[in-house]
Amino acid sequence: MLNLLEKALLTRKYAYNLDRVKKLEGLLQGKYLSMVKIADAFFTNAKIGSLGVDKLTTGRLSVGTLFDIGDEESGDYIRKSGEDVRILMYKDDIPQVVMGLQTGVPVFKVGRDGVNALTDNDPNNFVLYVDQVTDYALIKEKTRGSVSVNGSQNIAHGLDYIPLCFVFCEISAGVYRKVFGPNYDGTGIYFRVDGTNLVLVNTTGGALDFSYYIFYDEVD
Amino acid sequence: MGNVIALSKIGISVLGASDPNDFIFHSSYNTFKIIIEGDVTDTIPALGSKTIQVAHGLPFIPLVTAFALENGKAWAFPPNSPNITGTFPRIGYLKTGIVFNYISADEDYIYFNFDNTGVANKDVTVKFYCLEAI
Repeated sequence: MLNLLEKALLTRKYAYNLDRVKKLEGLLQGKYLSMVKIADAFFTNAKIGSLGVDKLTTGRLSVGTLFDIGDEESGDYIRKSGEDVRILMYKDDIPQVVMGLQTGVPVFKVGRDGVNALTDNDPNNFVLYVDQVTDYALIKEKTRGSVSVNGSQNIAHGLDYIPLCFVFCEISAGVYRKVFGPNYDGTGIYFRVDGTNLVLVNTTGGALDFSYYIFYDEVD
Repeated sequence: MGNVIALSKIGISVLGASDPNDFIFHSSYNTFKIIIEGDVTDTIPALGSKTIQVAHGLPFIPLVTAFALENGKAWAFPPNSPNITGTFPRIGYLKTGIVFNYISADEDYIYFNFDNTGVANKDVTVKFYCLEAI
Protein backbone atom coordinates (compact mmCIF):
# COMPACT_ATOMS: atom_id res chain seq x y z
CA MET A 1 0.00 0.00 0.00
CA LEU A 2 1.41 3.41 -0.99
CA ASN A 3 1.49 6.28 1.41
CA LEU A 4 0.41 9.75 0.38
CA LEU A 5 3.94 10.90 -0.33
CA GLU A 6 4.62 7.94 -2.66
CA LYS A 7 1.31 8.43 -4.45
CA ALA A 8 2.06 12.10 -5.02
CA LEU A 9 5.52 11.23 -6.34
CA LEU A 10 4.16 8.66 -8.80
CA THR A 11 1.43 11.02 -9.92
CA ARG A 12 4.00 13.74 -10.66
CA LYS A 13 6.20 11.26 -12.54
CA TYR A 14 3.25 10.03 -14.58
CA ALA A 15 2.22 13.57 -15.46
CA TYR A 16 5.81 14.41 -16.38
CA ASN A 17 6.18 11.33 -18.64
CA LEU A 18 2.82 11.93 -20.22
CA ASP A 19 3.87 15.45 -21.05
CA ARG A 20 7.15 14.20 -22.60
CA VAL A 21 5.33 11.62 -24.68
CA LYS A 22 2.98 14.29 -25.98
CA LYS A 23 5.90 16.52 -26.87
CA LEU A 24 7.62 13.60 -28.64
CA GLU A 25 4.47 12.80 -30.57
CA GLY A 26 4.26 16.44 -31.57
CA LEU A 27 7.85 16.40 -32.80
CA LEU A 28 7.42 13.19 -34.78
CA GLN A 29 4.05 14.02 -36.28
CA GLY A 30 4.40 13.69 -40.05
CA LYS A 31 8.19 13.43 -39.82
CA TYR A 32 10.45 10.84 -41.47
CA LEU A 33 12.78 9.07 -39.08
CA SER A 34 16.26 8.23 -40.37
CA MET A 35 16.90 5.60 -37.72
CA VAL A 36 14.84 4.13 -34.93
CA LYS A 37 16.07 1.47 -32.58
CA ILE A 38 13.60 -0.45 -30.49
CA ALA A 39 14.93 -2.91 -27.96
CA ASP A 40 12.91 -5.55 -26.14
CA ALA A 41 9.65 -4.04 -27.19
CA PHE A 42 6.38 -5.89 -27.52
CA PHE A 43 3.65 -4.91 -29.89
CA THR A 44 0.16 -6.27 -29.95
CA ASN A 45 -1.94 -5.49 -33.01
CA ALA A 46 0.51 -2.79 -34.05
CA LYS A 47 -0.03 -1.35 -37.51
CA ILE A 48 2.38 0.63 -39.63
CA GLY A 49 0.40 3.02 -41.74
CA SER A 50 3.26 3.92 -44.04
CA LEU A 51 6.86 2.78 -44.16
CA GLY A 52 9.53 3.91 -46.56
CA VAL A 53 12.98 2.43 -46.06
CA ASP A 54 15.79 1.16 -48.27
CA LYS A 55 16.29 -1.86 -46.11
CA LEU A 56 14.29 -3.33 -43.25
CA THR A 57 16.15 -5.71 -40.95
CA THR A 58 14.30 -7.61 -38.29
CA GLY A 59 15.22 -10.13 -35.70
CA ARG A 60 13.42 -13.42 -35.35
CA LEU A 61 9.68 -13.01 -35.22
CA SER A 62 8.33 -15.01 -32.35
CA VAL A 63 6.11 -18.06 -32.56
CA GLY A 64 2.55 -17.04 -33.13
CA THR A 65 3.51 -13.81 -34.83
CA LEU A 66 1.09 -12.63 -37.45
CA PHE A 67 2.18 -10.15 -40.03
CA ASP A 68 0.75 -8.84 -43.26
CA ILE A 69 2.50 -7.25 -46.20
CA GLY A 70 0.01 -5.17 -48.09
CA ASP A 71 -3.33 -3.85 -47.06
CA GLU A 72 -5.74 -6.46 -45.72
CA GLU A 73 -8.65 -4.14 -46.37
CA SER A 74 -7.91 -4.18 -50.09
CA GLY A 75 -8.07 -7.99 -50.13
CA ASP A 76 -4.60 -8.29 -51.71
CA TYR A 77 -1.85 -9.04 -49.22
CA ILE A 78 0.76 -11.54 -48.04
CA ARG A 79 0.26 -13.08 -44.62
CA LYS A 80 2.25 -15.18 -42.24
CA SER A 81 -0.62 -16.43 -40.19
CA GLY A 82 -0.06 -16.96 -36.51
CA GLU A 83 1.55 -20.23 -35.54
CA ASP A 84 1.25 -21.70 -39.04
CA VAL A 85 4.71 -22.06 -40.57
CA ARG A 86 3.64 -20.81 -43.95
CA ILE A 87 3.15 -17.76 -46.08
CA LEU A 88 -0.18 -17.10 -47.76
CA MET A 89 -0.64 -14.69 -50.64
CA TYR A 90 -4.15 -13.35 -50.93
CA LYS A 91 -5.86 -11.93 -53.97
CA ASP A 92 -9.40 -10.72 -53.55
CA ASP A 93 -9.30 -12.15 -50.03
CA ILE A 94 -8.62 -15.65 -51.40
CA PRO A 95 -5.35 -17.38 -50.43
CA GLN A 96 -4.18 -18.22 -53.96
CA VAL A 97 -0.59 -19.08 -53.00
CA VAL A 98 0.51 -21.17 -50.06
CA MET A 99 4.16 -21.81 -49.26
CA GLY A 100 5.08 -23.71 -46.11
CA LEU A 101 3.40 -26.33 -44.00
CA GLN A 102 -0.11 -27.58 -44.59
CA THR A 103 -1.27 -30.31 -42.20
CA GLY A 104 2.37 -30.79 -41.31
CA VAL A 105 3.58 -31.33 -44.88
CA PRO A 106 5.71 -28.82 -46.80
CA VAL A 107 3.77 -27.58 -49.82
CA PHE A 108 4.14 -24.93 -52.50
CA LYS A 109 0.90 -24.33 -54.35
CA VAL A 110 0.07 -21.55 -56.77
CA GLY A 111 -3.59 -21.58 -57.69
CA ARG A 112 -5.16 -20.32 -60.86
CA ASP A 113 -7.07 -17.09 -60.58
CA GLY A 114 -9.81 -17.44 -58.00
CA VAL A 115 -8.65 -20.79 -56.65
CA ASN A 116 -8.28 -21.19 -52.89
CA ALA A 117 -4.90 -22.88 -52.52
CA LEU A 118 -5.60 -23.90 -48.94
CA THR A 119 -8.82 -25.78 -49.59
CA ASP A 120 -8.59 -26.89 -53.22
CA ASN A 121 -6.80 -30.19 -53.83
CA ASP A 122 -7.28 -30.64 -57.58
CA PRO A 123 -3.89 -30.19 -59.34
CA ASN A 124 -5.75 -29.12 -62.50
CA ASN A 125 -6.69 -25.91 -60.72
CA PHE A 126 -3.08 -24.94 -60.06
CA VAL A 127 -0.26 -23.35 -62.00
CA LEU A 128 2.19 -25.05 -59.65
CA TYR A 129 1.34 -27.87 -57.22
CA VAL A 130 3.90 -29.42 -54.89
CA ASP A 131 2.43 -31.53 -52.09
CA GLN A 132 5.08 -34.20 -51.32
CA VAL A 133 2.63 -36.91 -52.40
CA THR A 134 2.88 -36.86 -56.19
CA ASP A 135 5.47 -35.17 -58.44
CA TYR A 136 3.47 -32.89 -60.70
CA ALA A 137 6.55 -31.93 -62.69
CA LEU A 138 6.44 -29.08 -65.18
CA ILE A 139 8.13 -29.71 -68.51
CA LYS A 140 11.38 -27.78 -68.75
CA GLU A 141 12.57 -26.30 -72.01
CA LYS A 142 16.20 -26.93 -72.97
CA THR A 143 16.36 -25.20 -76.30
CA ARG A 144 14.37 -24.10 -79.30
CA GLY A 145 15.15 -23.08 -82.81
CA SER A 146 14.10 -22.73 -86.41
CA VAL A 147 15.70 -24.35 -89.41
CA SER A 148 14.99 -24.72 -93.11
CA VAL A 149 14.78 -28.38 -94.08
CA ASN A 150 14.85 -30.03 -97.47
CA GLY A 151 15.36 -33.74 -96.91
CA SER A 152 16.60 -34.64 -93.46
CA GLN A 153 18.12 -32.44 -90.79
CA ASN A 154 19.68 -33.64 -87.53
CA ILE A 155 19.45 -31.40 -84.47
CA ALA A 156 21.83 -32.65 -81.77
CA HIS A 157 20.00 -32.33 -78.47
CA GLY A 158 23.05 -32.93 -76.25
CA LEU A 159 21.25 -35.17 -73.78
CA ASP A 160 22.09 -38.78 -72.97
CA TYR A 161 18.48 -39.88 -73.22
CA ILE A 162 15.50 -39.38 -75.55
CA PRO A 163 13.87 -36.05 -74.71
CA LEU A 164 10.36 -34.74 -75.20
CA CYS A 165 10.14 -32.57 -78.35
CA PHE A 166 7.55 -30.44 -80.10
CA VAL A 167 7.90 -29.67 -83.81
CA PHE A 168 5.97 -27.33 -86.11
CA CYS A 169 6.35 -26.71 -89.82
CA GLU A 170 5.49 -23.58 -91.77
CA ILE A 171 3.32 -25.42 -94.24
CA SER A 172 2.53 -22.20 -96.14
CA ALA A 173 3.42 -18.57 -95.53
CA GLY A 174 2.55 -17.75 -91.90
CA VAL A 175 0.68 -21.04 -91.29
CA TYR A 176 2.30 -23.48 -88.86
CA ARG A 177 1.23 -27.11 -88.67
CA LYS A 178 2.03 -29.42 -85.78
CA VAL A 179 4.31 -32.22 -86.94
CA PHE A 180 3.99 -35.83 -85.84
CA GLY A 181 5.50 -39.20 -86.78
CA PRO A 182 5.86 -40.58 -90.30
CA ASN A 183 3.16 -43.21 -90.37
CA TYR A 184 -0.13 -41.80 -91.38
CA ASP A 185 -0.67 -38.43 -92.97
CA GLY A 186 1.43 -39.00 -96.07
CA THR A 187 2.63 -35.40 -96.22
CA GLY A 188 6.26 -36.46 -96.09
CA ILE A 189 6.78 -34.08 -93.16
CA TYR A 190 7.61 -35.71 -89.87
CA PHE A 191 10.13 -36.04 -87.06
CA ARG A 192 11.66 -38.63 -84.80
CA VAL A 193 13.95 -38.49 -81.77
CA ASP A 194 16.72 -40.79 -80.66
CA GLY A 195 19.33 -40.63 -77.92
CA THR A 196 21.45 -38.18 -79.91
CA ASN A 197 19.35 -36.21 -82.37
CA LEU A 198 16.00 -34.71 -83.12
CA VAL A 199 15.59 -35.63 -86.80
CA LEU A 200 13.45 -33.34 -88.93
CA VAL A 201 12.31 -34.76 -92.25
CA ASN A 202 10.78 -33.06 -95.27
CA THR A 203 10.39 -35.18 -98.40
CA THR A 204 8.11 -32.79 -100.28
CA GLY A 205 10.95 -31.77 -102.59
CA GLY A 206 11.07 -28.12 -101.53
CA ALA A 207 12.57 -26.49 -98.45
CA LEU A 208 10.26 -25.77 -95.52
CA ASP A 209 10.89 -23.95 -92.24
CA PHE A 210 10.63 -26.04 -89.08
CA SER A 211 10.35 -24.70 -85.53
CA TYR A 212 11.38 -27.13 -82.82
CA TYR A 213 11.34 -27.24 -79.02
CA ILE A 214 13.47 -29.69 -77.04
CA PHE A 215 12.75 -30.32 -73.36
CA TYR A 216 14.87 -31.78 -70.61
CA ASP A 217 12.10 -34.20 -69.77
CA GLU A 218 12.69 -37.82 -70.71
CA VAL A 219 10.23 -39.81 -72.78
CA ASP A 220 11.83 -43.21 -72.20
CA MET B 1 23.75 -20.00 -61.95
CA GLY B 2 22.85 -17.10 -59.66
CA ASN B 3 19.64 -16.84 -57.71
CA VAL B 4 17.02 -19.44 -58.57
CA ILE B 5 13.71 -20.73 -57.38
CA ALA B 6 13.77 -24.52 -57.53
CA LEU B 7 11.46 -27.26 -56.30
CA SER B 8 12.84 -30.79 -56.37
CA LYS B 9 10.98 -34.05 -56.68
CA ILE B 10 10.11 -36.06 -53.58
CA GLY B 11 13.19 -37.35 -51.76
CA ILE B 12 15.68 -35.28 -53.75
CA SER B 13 17.74 -32.52 -52.16
CA VAL B 14 16.93 -29.28 -53.89
CA LEU B 15 20.41 -28.00 -53.05
CA GLY B 16 22.26 -31.09 -54.26
CA ALA B 17 20.32 -31.84 -57.45
CA SER B 18 21.70 -30.80 -60.83
CA ASP B 19 19.73 -32.98 -63.29
CA PRO B 20 16.78 -30.96 -64.65
CA ASN B 21 14.69 -34.14 -64.46
CA ASP B 22 15.04 -34.08 -60.67
CA PHE B 23 13.04 -30.88 -60.42
CA ILE B 24 9.34 -30.19 -60.49
CA PHE B 25 10.14 -26.57 -61.25
CA HIS B 26 13.37 -24.69 -61.78
CA SER B 27 13.44 -21.02 -62.63
CA SER B 28 16.40 -21.52 -64.98
CA TYR B 29 14.27 -23.59 -67.37
CA ASN B 30 11.28 -22.19 -69.21
CA THR B 31 8.00 -24.01 -68.77
CA PHE B 32 5.27 -23.87 -71.37
CA LYS B 33 2.25 -21.97 -70.16
CA ILE B 34 -1.30 -22.59 -71.31
CA ILE B 35 -2.20 -19.20 -72.72
CA ILE B 36 -5.64 -20.27 -73.89
CA GLU B 37 -7.55 -23.51 -73.68
CA GLY B 38 -10.91 -24.28 -75.13
CA ASP B 39 -13.07 -26.72 -76.99
CA VAL B 40 -15.11 -26.64 -80.15
CA THR B 41 -17.70 -29.08 -81.47
CA ASP B 42 -18.61 -29.48 -85.13
CA THR B 43 -20.07 -31.98 -87.55
CA ILE B 44 -17.89 -33.74 -90.10
CA PRO B 45 -20.03 -34.54 -93.15
CA ALA B 46 -20.38 -38.11 -94.38
CA LEU B 47 -17.83 -39.08 -97.02
CA GLY B 48 -16.33 -35.62 -96.71
CA SER B 49 -13.83 -33.38 -95.02
CA LYS B 50 -14.01 -30.34 -92.84
CA THR B 51 -11.62 -27.79 -91.43
CA ILE B 52 -12.85 -26.39 -88.13
CA GLN B 53 -11.68 -22.82 -87.71
CA VAL B 54 -11.36 -21.06 -84.35
CA ALA B 55 -10.25 -17.43 -83.86
CA HIS B 56 -7.58 -17.40 -81.15
CA GLY B 57 -7.46 -13.63 -80.57
CA LEU B 58 -3.78 -13.67 -79.67
CA PRO B 59 -1.24 -11.12 -80.92
CA PHE B 60 1.06 -13.91 -82.13
CA ILE B 61 0.95 -17.28 -83.90
CA PRO B 62 0.39 -19.75 -81.07
CA LEU B 63 1.92 -23.15 -80.56
CA VAL B 64 -1.15 -25.38 -80.45
CA THR B 65 -1.73 -28.92 -79.35
CA ALA B 66 -5.13 -30.64 -79.36
CA PHE B 67 -7.07 -33.87 -79.04
CA ALA B 68 -10.37 -34.90 -80.61
CA LEU B 69 -13.28 -36.77 -79.09
CA GLU B 70 -15.86 -38.34 -81.38
CA ASN B 71 -19.42 -38.07 -80.14
CA GLY B 72 -20.43 -41.24 -78.34
CA LYS B 73 -16.88 -42.54 -78.00
CA ALA B 74 -14.96 -42.67 -74.77
CA TRP B 75 -11.41 -41.87 -75.84
CA ALA B 76 -9.58 -38.87 -77.20
CA PHE B 77 -7.15 -39.14 -80.10
CA PRO B 78 -4.41 -36.86 -81.41
CA PRO B 79 -3.91 -35.42 -84.90
CA ASN B 80 -2.31 -37.46 -87.67
CA SER B 81 -4.41 -40.47 -86.72
CA PRO B 82 -7.73 -42.15 -87.34
CA ASN B 83 -10.16 -42.92 -84.57
CA ILE B 84 -9.69 -46.60 -83.80
CA THR B 85 -12.20 -48.58 -81.80
CA GLY B 86 -10.03 -51.63 -81.38
CA THR B 87 -7.43 -53.99 -82.81
CA PHE B 88 -8.30 -57.55 -83.73
CA PRO B 89 -6.22 -60.53 -84.93
CA ARG B 90 -6.30 -60.95 -88.73
CA ILE B 91 -8.69 -58.01 -89.02
CA GLY B 92 -6.38 -55.25 -87.88
CA TYR B 93 -7.61 -51.85 -86.87
CA LEU B 94 -11.33 -51.24 -86.61
CA LYS B 95 -11.89 -47.56 -87.45
CA THR B 96 -14.87 -45.29 -86.94
CA GLY B 97 -14.20 -43.41 -90.17
CA ILE B 98 -13.13 -40.17 -88.52
CA VAL B 99 -9.57 -39.08 -89.22
CA PHE B 100 -7.99 -36.13 -87.38
CA ASN B 101 -5.53 -34.98 -90.03
CA TYR B 102 -3.79 -31.93 -88.62
CA ILE B 103 -3.66 -28.78 -86.50
CA SER B 104 -2.46 -25.53 -88.01
CA ALA B 105 -2.34 -21.96 -86.77
CA ASP B 106 -1.74 -18.54 -88.26
CA GLU B 107 -1.96 -14.99 -86.94
CA ASP B 108 -5.74 -15.13 -86.58
CA TYR B 109 -7.02 -18.69 -86.49
CA ILE B 110 -6.44 -22.25 -85.40
CA TYR B 111 -7.45 -24.95 -87.90
CA PHE B 112 -8.44 -28.54 -87.15
CA ASN B 113 -8.81 -30.71 -90.25
CA PHE B 114 -10.88 -33.91 -90.33
CA ASP B 115 -11.96 -36.56 -92.82
CA ASN B 116 -15.05 -38.70 -92.46
CA THR B 117 -14.99 -41.88 -94.53
CA GLY B 118 -18.24 -43.07 -93.00
CA VAL B 119 -21.70 -42.81 -94.57
CA ALA B 120 -23.18 -40.78 -91.72
CA ASN B 121 -22.39 -37.31 -90.40
CA LYS B 122 -20.37 -37.41 -87.21
CA ASP B 123 -19.85 -34.88 -84.45
CA VAL B 124 -16.42 -34.33 -82.97
CA THR B 125 -15.26 -32.14 -80.12
CA VAL B 126 -11.74 -30.77 -80.19
CA LYS B 127 -10.03 -29.79 -76.95
CA PHE B 128 -7.16 -27.44 -77.69
CA TYR B 129 -4.36 -25.68 -75.85
CA CYS B 130 -2.42 -22.63 -77.06
CA LEU B 131 0.87 -22.87 -75.21
CA GLU B 132 2.88 -19.87 -76.33
CA ALA B 133 4.23 -18.15 -79.42
CA ILE B 134 5.86 -20.20 -82.15
